[in-house]
Amino acid sequence: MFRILIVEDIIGVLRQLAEFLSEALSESETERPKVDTAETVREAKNLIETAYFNRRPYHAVLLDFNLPMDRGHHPEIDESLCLAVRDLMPTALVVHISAFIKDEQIERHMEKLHIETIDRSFTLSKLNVNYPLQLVGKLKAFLYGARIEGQIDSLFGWASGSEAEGRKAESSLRDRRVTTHQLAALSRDIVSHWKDLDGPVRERVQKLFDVDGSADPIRISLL
Amino acid sequence: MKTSAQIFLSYSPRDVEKVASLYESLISEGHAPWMDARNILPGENRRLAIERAMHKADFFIACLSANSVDERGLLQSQFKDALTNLRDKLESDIYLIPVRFEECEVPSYFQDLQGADLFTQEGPSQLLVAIKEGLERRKGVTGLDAQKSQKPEHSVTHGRQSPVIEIAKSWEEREGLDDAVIRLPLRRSGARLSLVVESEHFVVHFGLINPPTGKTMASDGVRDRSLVRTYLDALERCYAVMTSEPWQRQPPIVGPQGKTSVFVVNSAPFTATDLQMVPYICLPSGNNEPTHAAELDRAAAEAVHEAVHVFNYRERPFHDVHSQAWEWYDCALASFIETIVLPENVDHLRFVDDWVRKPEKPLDEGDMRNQGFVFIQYLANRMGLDFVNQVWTQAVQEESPLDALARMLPNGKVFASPEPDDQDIFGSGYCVDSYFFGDSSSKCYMPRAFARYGNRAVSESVLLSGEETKTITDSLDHLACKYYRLALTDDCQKKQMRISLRTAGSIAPLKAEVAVVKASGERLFTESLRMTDSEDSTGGEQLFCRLPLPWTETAHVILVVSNCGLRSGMKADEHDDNREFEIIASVA
Repeated sequence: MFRILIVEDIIGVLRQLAEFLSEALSESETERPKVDTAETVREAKNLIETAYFNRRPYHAVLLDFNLPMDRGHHPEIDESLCLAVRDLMPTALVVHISAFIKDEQIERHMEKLHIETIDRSFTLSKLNVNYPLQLVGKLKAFLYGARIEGQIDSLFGWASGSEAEGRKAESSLRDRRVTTHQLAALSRDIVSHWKDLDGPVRERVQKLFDVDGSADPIRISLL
Repeated sequence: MKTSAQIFLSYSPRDVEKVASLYESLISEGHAPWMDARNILPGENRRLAIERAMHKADFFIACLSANSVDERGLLQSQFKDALTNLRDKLESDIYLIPVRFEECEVPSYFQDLQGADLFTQEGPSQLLVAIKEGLERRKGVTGLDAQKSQKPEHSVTHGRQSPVIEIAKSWEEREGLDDAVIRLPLRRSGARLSLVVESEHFVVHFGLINPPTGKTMASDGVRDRSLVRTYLDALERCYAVMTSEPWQRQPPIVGPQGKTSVFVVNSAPFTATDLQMVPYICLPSGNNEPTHAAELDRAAAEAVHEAVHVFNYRERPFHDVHSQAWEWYDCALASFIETIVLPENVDHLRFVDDWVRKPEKPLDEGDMRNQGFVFIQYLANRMGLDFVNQVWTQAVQEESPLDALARMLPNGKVFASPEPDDQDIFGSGYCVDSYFFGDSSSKCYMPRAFARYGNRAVSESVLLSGEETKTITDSLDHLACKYYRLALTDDCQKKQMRISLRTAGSIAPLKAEVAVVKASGERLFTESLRMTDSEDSTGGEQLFCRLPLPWTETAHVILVVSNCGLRSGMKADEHDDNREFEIIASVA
């Protein structure tokens, strides 16, 4: 189950976005993403810290760049939330959604904080009417891609990692009789979300599996 | 009934002639005796041959004479191994028979065992009677462990009773075929699987670590062909069991060659599908078990496990999204069928360790899939093998195993219910019985597993005296249970224990039962905790039980708290996990 945090001070936008993402990213009736919302920096920090201490970090955090510190305060540019996410949940995707995407301060922030993790952050302009769809596309590519890569690492880590890691993964796998279903879960994930995956993840999959893209849905096999 | 026994003869080399005479007379009675001087072939590894023969033997005859009493080393070590094996048998079993060829001292560790004196007139016939009786006592073997003596409500048919498959005699090996290539992640050596062996239903592709010509197969290669032979034999045994009563499964889906493909490579065992959605099996080119016999046992178990997945694939293809909820049942069933196809193989006991240590893990949790075989065994003993099978074969597509179990149970039986009056399968049944898996009255009875691992983990043990009330605060996830051990101090003269279980809100889906345990570890009786009005003002609910104890027989009391909720917190926001409760225990 994916966990997503949205921080937005315009309550109408916040609710719409939460409902839209919950629907767009649900994989079945019971497997819906858990979408938390916050209207202020203080609320968001509380949620981030709680998630960290409960060892349930967010997979993605959507931030408005202009946010009030607390209820009743005026919005101002905030970098502290982004820093907190980077610090406590370094693998999370950070999306900055702002009406002032060309703002110099935002550009400086992106340069300063995201220069080395460019694949884990991006910005979207609220002024673009299609931004929710763009957002869902990018979130799907990131979330499904990260989940698939995690499964690949767990199953075939030794094939692409170091020899020492390889031996460790291999011996732990050999002691378990669960690979059939781990592999089945990975295959299902790849087949279900092939269209959402971006190029590098697809390439990695194709190095491991034979992919028959002519079928709908696609078929994959290790043979 | 089996009338021919496999008998291991352990003796001093100085008695070889006397033992040979016994060997001949056992053969003339239709038995299959084994003695190293007769049965080990030149060039064969003596240690492995002896180890294997001891492992297979129905009886161990310790041949005693003045020579054997003085003998040190191998003979004494065989005697001690036999005593270790004896500990895994039922008390009523006949396994180790001390036989004297002449008047001599009997080692002290055999003192409890009745022997046979072959130098007396009645000695030889006593020995034959003992062998016959020993076989007779084993004929009604039921349940997971071959040594079970009490027949459960619905007995599990043992693989031993299925037709013996001598597949190993009929397999054929050929070279030069490599029509399918396993991709790089599973094949580090890059060499080809150039050898193929076929049986009636399977075709196995493999290579050798050191082939006569060409590149080494390295980690993808097998050391010798005995591993492949073991795989093939186990696969065919599984096929025979799965296609006969009571399973009556359809043959697996196969490709144009009409057989299931098996690839032996450097990987964990698994089953997957090719691009035509035909299932195939990958089995490891070796394993790290410390002895050859253990390596082959594990190989056989892994082959059976994967073969069951191939059979199960017909009803629930892995790629189908509805199959996801069935993963735990699929694995639990596969591990359970290992015990039926290979009744003497104890490899499945490796799963018992986690099962013993983690009763608080939900039945359907991914990490505990194979450990679920104990639940399947319980279900089979309570409802019959047919039921266990039908849950898999007759559930409709959208159902989860829990839905199917609930729907398919006959009238009057309920799968999981917190109602104290419901003797449900999960809470009142499996959770309570699984604590007593060393007790022959339990439907989870596994004497070999109990001898190896002991009681399931108890969350907390409490010693009650006459003065104090003990409180324990805890929580529990769905479809799981926790055990609490309540005992009295020696000086406590009170005769009644009061136990209550409180929650802040509704007590459901929690359920609680107490079992009074005898010093022998057997269950004396079980009592449900029932709803009362909560004594505090929190608005919560309370289950309560006042337990009169027959102290002369009681060693302690086990409180079993089970969570009969089916909803996992991993899947949904509204779930039954992390249900908090408080236990209050006192004596009065």
